Amino acid sequence: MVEMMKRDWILFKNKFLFMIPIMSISLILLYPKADEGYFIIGLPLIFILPVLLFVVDDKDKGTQQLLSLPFSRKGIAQGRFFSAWILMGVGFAYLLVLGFSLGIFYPEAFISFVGYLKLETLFLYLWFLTALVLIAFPVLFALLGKGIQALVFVGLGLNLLLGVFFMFQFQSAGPDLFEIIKGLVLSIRAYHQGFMSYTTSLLILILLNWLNLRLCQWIFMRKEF
Amino acid sequence: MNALEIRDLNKRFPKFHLQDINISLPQGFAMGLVGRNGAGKTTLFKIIMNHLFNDSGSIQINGLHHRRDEALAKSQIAYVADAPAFSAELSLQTLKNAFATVYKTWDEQKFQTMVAKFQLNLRSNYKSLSKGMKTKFYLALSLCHDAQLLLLDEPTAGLDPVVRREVLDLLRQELQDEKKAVLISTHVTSDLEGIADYLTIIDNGRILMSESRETISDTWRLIKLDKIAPQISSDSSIEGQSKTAFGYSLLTSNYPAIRSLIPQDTVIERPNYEDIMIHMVKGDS
Repeated sequence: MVEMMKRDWILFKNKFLFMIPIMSISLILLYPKADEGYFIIGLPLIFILPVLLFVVDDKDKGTQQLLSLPFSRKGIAQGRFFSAWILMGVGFAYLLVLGFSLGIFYPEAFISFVGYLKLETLFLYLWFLTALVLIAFPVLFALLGKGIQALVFVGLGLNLLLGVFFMFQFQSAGPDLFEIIKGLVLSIRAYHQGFMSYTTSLLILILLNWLNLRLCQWIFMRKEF
Repeated sequence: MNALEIRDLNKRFPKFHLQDINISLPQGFAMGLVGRNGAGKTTLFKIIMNHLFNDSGSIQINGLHHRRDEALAKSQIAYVADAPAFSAELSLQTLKNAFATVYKTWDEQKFQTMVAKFQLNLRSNYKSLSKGMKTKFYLALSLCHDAQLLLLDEPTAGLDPVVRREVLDLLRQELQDEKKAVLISTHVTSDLEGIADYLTIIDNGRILMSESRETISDTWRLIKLDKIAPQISSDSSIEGQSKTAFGYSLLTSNYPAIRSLIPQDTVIERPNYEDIMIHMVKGDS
C-alpha cells in the first residue's frame, strides 16, 4: 500500500501542487470577510482534492498505469482512501500556517482594495455557480448513460455547496445573491446555530467527506478504464 | 500449467461483443494475436489486466484467477499497452523509480543494460522522446522484473523499420528464456514470423482460428486454382478463399483430407501468417 501511495504521489503531485495557489488565492480574497472562520473557506477545497484522486487523471492515465502494475483494484482503492486522509491533514496544516501568516502580514490597504473591487463576492458567485454546474452535470451524464461520472460529480458538487454552507456559518453579512439560496440552508442553519461550534462543523464536514470518499471507493471498484 | 488460460470469455458493449474467447498459452511459448483494428485485441488485453470487466468466463494466469488473485497475478505479467499511460511531463528516471519500487524482482542491471543499448537518457522527459524511443523505454521498463507472461499490445505499431527490427530482436532475445510466455497482438503479421509458436486470428470479437505453427506447417495449405469445383469449396476444411488475378486461392486447414479432390497440376503452397489472415478475415467466403 505504501508503494501504491508513493506512486500515486508521483503521478498526481502536479495536480495537487496546482491546487495550492488556487487555495491561497481563495483565502487571500476571502480573508477580509471570513473573520474567525477564515480557513473554513479553504476546508472544502481540501476535501475536494482527495476526490480528485478518484476522478483520476485526464483519460484516466494514472489509474490505467496503476492497474497495469501489480496492484489490485481493492488495494488501489484502499491506498487512495488513506492517501486522501493524509492529503487532507497536510492541506489543513498548510491552511493553518497560511492563515496565521496572513493574520500577521495582511496589509489593511489590501483588504480595502479587495473590498472595493468586491473580488470576494465575485469569487463566491463563481464558487456557487460551479457547484450548481457540478450538480447539474449528473443529469447530463445520466442522459448519456454515464452513471459513474454522474456520481463523482454529485460528490464534487456537494463539497462545493458545503463550502457555501459553512461560509454562511461564519459570515455576518453575505452578498445579496446569497439571500436567494439562504432559504435552502436556513433550516439546517437554524437548527445548528444554537450549539454548532467550529469543532462540530469540522467534525460534520469530516464525516460527510468520509462518506463521500467511501462513495468514491465504491465507484472506483466498478469503473472500467 | 498454462501461463494464460482463457475460458468462454464474453464481454458485451453496446456496439461490440467479445464472444466466447478461448485461449490456452503454455509456458515457454509465444502466441500471435492477429486481427484488424477494432477486432477486439486491446479489449481482450484490458480484460486480462482488469481495466475492463468480463461479463462471463474465466481467466487464469499461471493458475491464478485474474481478479481474485489480482495483485499476485499481475506481478507475473509484463503489460505493454498499445498507448502507454505515462504522465508525459515526468522524467524517465522518475518513471523508472516508480516502476522499480513496486516490483520485488526488479532487475536494475538488466534495465541499465537496456538503457545503454537503446541510448536512452534517463534525465529526458517522456514527452520529449520520439515514438520509437518511447516504445524502447516502455519495453525496457516492462521487461525488467522477470515477468512470466508478456502481454504486448501492438508493440511495433507506428515504428520505423529500423526500430521495429530492434524491438523484434529484443523480443526474440526475451523468448530464449523458456519459462516466459508471450501474447503479442499485431495487425502486421510479418512481425510474428520467427516469433510466434501459435497464431490466433480474431475478427469482430470472435476467434476465427488458433493453431500451432507446426499444425499450420503440416496441414494448412494454399490451393491455387483457375476455377473452383463445388466439392472443393464446400469442404469443411476450407477456411477461406479469395479471387486473384489468375484465378482463385483457397485456404485449407486439412490438406491431407482433400488432397484427392485437387487436380494434379494445381499449385499448392504453405501459407504464411499473412495469407491465413487475409483469407480468413478478408476472404470472399
